[in-house]
Amino acid sequence: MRSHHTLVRLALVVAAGASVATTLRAQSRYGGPGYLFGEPFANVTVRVGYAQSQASSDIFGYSTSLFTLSKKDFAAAEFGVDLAFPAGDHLEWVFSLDAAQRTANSEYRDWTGSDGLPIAQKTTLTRVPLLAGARWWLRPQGRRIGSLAWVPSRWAPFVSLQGGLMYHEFKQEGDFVNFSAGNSVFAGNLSSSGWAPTAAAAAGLSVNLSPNLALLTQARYVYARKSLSSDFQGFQPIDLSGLSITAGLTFRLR
Amino acid sequence: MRRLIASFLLLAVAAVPRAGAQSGAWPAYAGCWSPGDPGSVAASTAAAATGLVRCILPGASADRATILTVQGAKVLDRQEVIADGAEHVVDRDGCQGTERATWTGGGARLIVRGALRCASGPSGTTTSIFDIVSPGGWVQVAGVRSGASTEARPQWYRRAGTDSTWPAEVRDVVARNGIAGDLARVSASADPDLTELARIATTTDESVVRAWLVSRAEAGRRGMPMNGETLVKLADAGVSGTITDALVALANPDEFEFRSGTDQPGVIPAGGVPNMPRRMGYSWANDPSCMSPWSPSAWMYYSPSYGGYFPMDAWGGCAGRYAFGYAPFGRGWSLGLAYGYPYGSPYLGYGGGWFWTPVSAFNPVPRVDTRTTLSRTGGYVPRGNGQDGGRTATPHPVSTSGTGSSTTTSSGTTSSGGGRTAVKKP
Repeated sequence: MRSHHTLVRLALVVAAGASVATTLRAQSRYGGPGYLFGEPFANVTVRVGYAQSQASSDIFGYSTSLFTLSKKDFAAAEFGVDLAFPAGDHLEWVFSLDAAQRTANSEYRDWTGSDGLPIAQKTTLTRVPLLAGARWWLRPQGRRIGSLAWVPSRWAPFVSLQGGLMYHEFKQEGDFVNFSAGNSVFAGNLSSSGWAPTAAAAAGLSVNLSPNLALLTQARYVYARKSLSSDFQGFQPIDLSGLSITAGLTFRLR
Repeated sequence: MRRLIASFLLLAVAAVPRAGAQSGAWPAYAGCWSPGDPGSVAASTAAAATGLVRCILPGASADRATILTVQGAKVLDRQEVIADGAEHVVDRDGCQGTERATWTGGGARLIVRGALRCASGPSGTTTSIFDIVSPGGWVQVAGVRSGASTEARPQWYRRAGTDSTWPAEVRDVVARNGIAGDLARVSASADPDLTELARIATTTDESVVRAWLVSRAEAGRRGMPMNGETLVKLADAGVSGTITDALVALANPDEFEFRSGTDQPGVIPAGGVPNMPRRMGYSWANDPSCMSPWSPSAWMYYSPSYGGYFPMDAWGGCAGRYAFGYAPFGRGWSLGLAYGYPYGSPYLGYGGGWFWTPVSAFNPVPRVDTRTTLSRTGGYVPRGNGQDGGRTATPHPVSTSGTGSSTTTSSGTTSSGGGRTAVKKP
């Protein structure tokens, strides 16, 4: 119950903490107008955006046919933070933590309670990918001039490949109908959570705002599937894949 | 002294194309000049005691001048410089070679390049930059390269008082060059623009250019402000990184300083660009061990004053770092920002961060077992106890099947269904 909330909170705290820390750091003088005193040793990016869920496995189909749900109900706001270490003009090692969670209220499409009230429940999908990989800048992020100056490029596109694990939780709680027991309505709670192997590919663009700040936008497709827990029997592995579009600020650390 | 002065004026760089005759700023240099103290165009007390002055006498044509070293009535050295951008053969002090003198910046600065081979064996190249750094004086930065090493020396000059014992040709020039000379020097003391700077930097020995830039700064002429765009333009023009380093350091005097590398005042050693950071810079920027957060320099020390571990860098050659560390007064591992003051600061450093605090308290409540199983074929089936609230389902009066949209209907969540059964919606 608590685990996904903890992770989401942790992701948000990481993002906020990194943002505050890097902003404070960015306020100190470590460069001149239009340049830094050397190449950044790391870049921290804090992103927000929209994460669509592919929701192609049968558990989603089952739920959307039985309840007043659609695939769009599993899309969510996404928060993410990247920690990237440049390893040359074009290559960067990137570690990413994202979090997206959506809870959708629903009721049975075709059934109602004998008391006339809807048979309501809520479904929550949480996805927290923790990824590591490489980002390849098609144009260098900046240019080292001498040993004391690094001038950022005005813009730089990139592609990236990452792999890792995704913490996920698919949870349903509320009222359900036991059709094998006289259509009785009961309060129920089902969940499936755990870590799923994940692969991700992304493309994006960084636009320089100042020597230590850039605007980064990216589109990323994440692929992940994982068997459901014993709460869900006879279903395919849950499809956790989806496309996300996020934008945020990159703080260059020097 | 004669040999030194003579060596400053030897020139020749085959790669520099002939620029043709140029009008220059010889009138700005005309007159007699006393050596100034390093970093200043004020008169050097020691030099003044010798009575040595350098006198520049414009020639019959605009590109020619004669440079004399005078001590009282004696002319110790006499050299003619033809600043027409063309290569000229020279034969001085037993050394033969060529020299080329070129005005830049519309005649504000003179670059003299030479190459010579001496009968005794050694050979090398020389470079001199003459620059009016203020209406009251000028600086000559001269470099001698032999093999891979270059020694560059700046020498400042200020106007010398008149001396009745000077040779007549000298006194005549001094007498004729009063206000006209001042006006010429004001005109010639403009800072170099980006184009001129790039040209000088790419055609002149790097050590000499660096020493020239530093000399100008020491004379209060910091030149153009450096920004990212100008740095890129200079780099694109082929300006060496050691020169852009000097420009960056000069543009940020609060961050960098220059240090003389020898016991000779005012001498900038070869390769001796900014070398001692005040707060950050050259030494650690070039120290690979400081660049990696995983290097030994990222080890931390404990500060009892601030209750945490902080990077050793705060005491060493590296400035602040981000690092993982264990915060003894926190509740676990932290990722925080720690920053220290290097080089003898009384501050040990300070740090901050947020901590992953374990749950230390909870409010126990009775738990209802609502575990459920969903079977693909059998639907939702309760597994726990006490889940049956007595309610049953009936078909919905108005089917919402196929709408594909969620509702925001408030649900009873896990509370009792109130004796319901399901009813099929019609």
